[in-house]
Parts: sequence; C-alpha cells; structure tokens
Amino acid sequence: MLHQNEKRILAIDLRSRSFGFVAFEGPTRLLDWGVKSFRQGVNEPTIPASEKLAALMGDFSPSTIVLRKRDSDTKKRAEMRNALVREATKRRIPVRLLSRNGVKNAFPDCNRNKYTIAAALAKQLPELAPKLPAVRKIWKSEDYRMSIFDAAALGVAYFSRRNQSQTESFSTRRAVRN
Amino acid sequence: MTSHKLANYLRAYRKRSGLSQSEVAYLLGYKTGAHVSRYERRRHMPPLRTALAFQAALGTPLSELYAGTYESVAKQVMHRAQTLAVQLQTRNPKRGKSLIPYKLQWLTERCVPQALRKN
Repeated sequence: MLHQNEKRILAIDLRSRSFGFVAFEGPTRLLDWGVKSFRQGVNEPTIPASEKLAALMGDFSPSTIVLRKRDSDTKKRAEMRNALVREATKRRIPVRLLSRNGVKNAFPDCNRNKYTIAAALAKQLPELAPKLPAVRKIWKSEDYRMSIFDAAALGVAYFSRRNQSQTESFSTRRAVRN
Repeated sequence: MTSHKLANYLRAYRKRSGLSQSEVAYLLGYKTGAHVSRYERRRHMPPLRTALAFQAALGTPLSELYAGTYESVAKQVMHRAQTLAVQLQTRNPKRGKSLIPYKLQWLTERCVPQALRKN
C-alpha cells in the first residue's frame, strides 16, 4: 500500500482542442506527463478525447483527479469535461476542482503570471525543465507545452493544500486535547 | 479508489532519464520501440535478460521498476515462508534435523521481514 503522502493523482488541464496531463505519486514524484491534442478536419484523430482520458485513468488508477475550476467553459471544453467526469464517476474516482487563486497561493513567491509559476515548477520538478517553453511574445500564440505546466501547477497546488489542511486539522486536534 | 503501487514504473523512470522509447529499445537490443511500449503498458512481461537490461539502462533496481509486481510476489513469498516455517516446526524428518533451527532462523530473519519491509 502507498503511504498517504504518496497518493497518486492525475492533474489535467483541459483546453478546447487538447489537454495536458501530469500524473503524480506524492508531491515530488512524477509518473508521466504530456499533451494529447485533438485537431479538426482531415487530421482529426480517430481516438476521441473520452477514450484517451479513460486510458489515462486505466493506466494510473489515480485516487483523485484534479481539474481547474472555471467560471465559464467553451462548448468543446465543457464536452470534454463532461466526458471526463462521466468516466471518473464510472470508476469511482473523485474529481477535485482548484481555482486560479488556489494555484497561485501554492506558489507564494513567484505567482506573478503562469510563466513565473512554470519556471518555479521547472526548478521544483527538474524532469519538466526540458519542456519549459520560452516566455510568449505578445504576437505569438501560446506554446502547447504550457498545458503540461498548468496541469503540474494544479497537482502541486492540490498537494500543498492537502498538507496545509492536514497540518491545520492536526493542530486543531492538539489544541482540543490540551 | 486504489492506493497500491503500479505494476511497473518503466515509463516514469524512462521519462525521467529523458530517453525516448526507441533509444531505450536500442539499449535493450531491440530494433524499434514497440517492445518497450508493450512493456510500459503492461501488455507483455519482459524476459529476464531484457528486465536486467532495463535495470542497467535506467540505473534502477528491478524491485523498483516493477514495484507493484514485486510487492505482490513478496507477499506471496512471505505467506509461503510462514507456511514453510510451520511445516518445518511440525515435521519430524529422519535426516537433517539439525538444520531445522537454522532454516527457521533464515526464514524469520530474511524472508518474512524483507517482504514486510517492502510493504
């Protein structure tokens, strides 16, 4: 059995035509990471997003799936989210949502923007360093690899939040005892 | 909900090393990365020589590369060791009686605690 601190989670950053994922086993151990994209038109992949999400859940059998909490969703992202939640419910895997502020709070010294968070993540998790894209120029579109860092930030934020709540509950218990 | 270890961590260690499947395949002596992909996705179990090549290529012991499989095998061995210890205590053989305490000591010191330590 795995220790509670080595809990296996799957952090997913959903986009309208792709999703980035990072599988964690504990806050510092990465199992897998990558981006799956779903182009339109002649290059449309034959395997739909829902199947790829299901395959990921099957491969890692995570105890939790972490997603970004959003106020509004585009139609395609909502479809993908629904497919994911359906698959997770089928496998009895809880889905946790983290807001943007929740992610920022996990990186107190470097939360100016997503690029500073990505740079902090590359230091924290050296396996991801080769994937770190250059800071986007204003006239360029975002690098597809940023999706991996967004997902990794979700995972790290989830663990730090969990640790905080555990410490809080521990200190409350001690205070009640005393 | 599961909290058991994965059957293998080949993909995690390979990605940590930065090597591609075809590069690892070359190190293992295969022509393409197809075999590596099958081993990573738990479709096939590698033969002993390939498993040892994985250990040499990724610089990680087999018990860590195949942590989940090792865990289940270790549990079975522990269970059998306990049964064997009981059998040895109850058995009354004509030959090799003097070896029994040594065997029991070996089983309790090596087999049982080793399996427990890994869990």
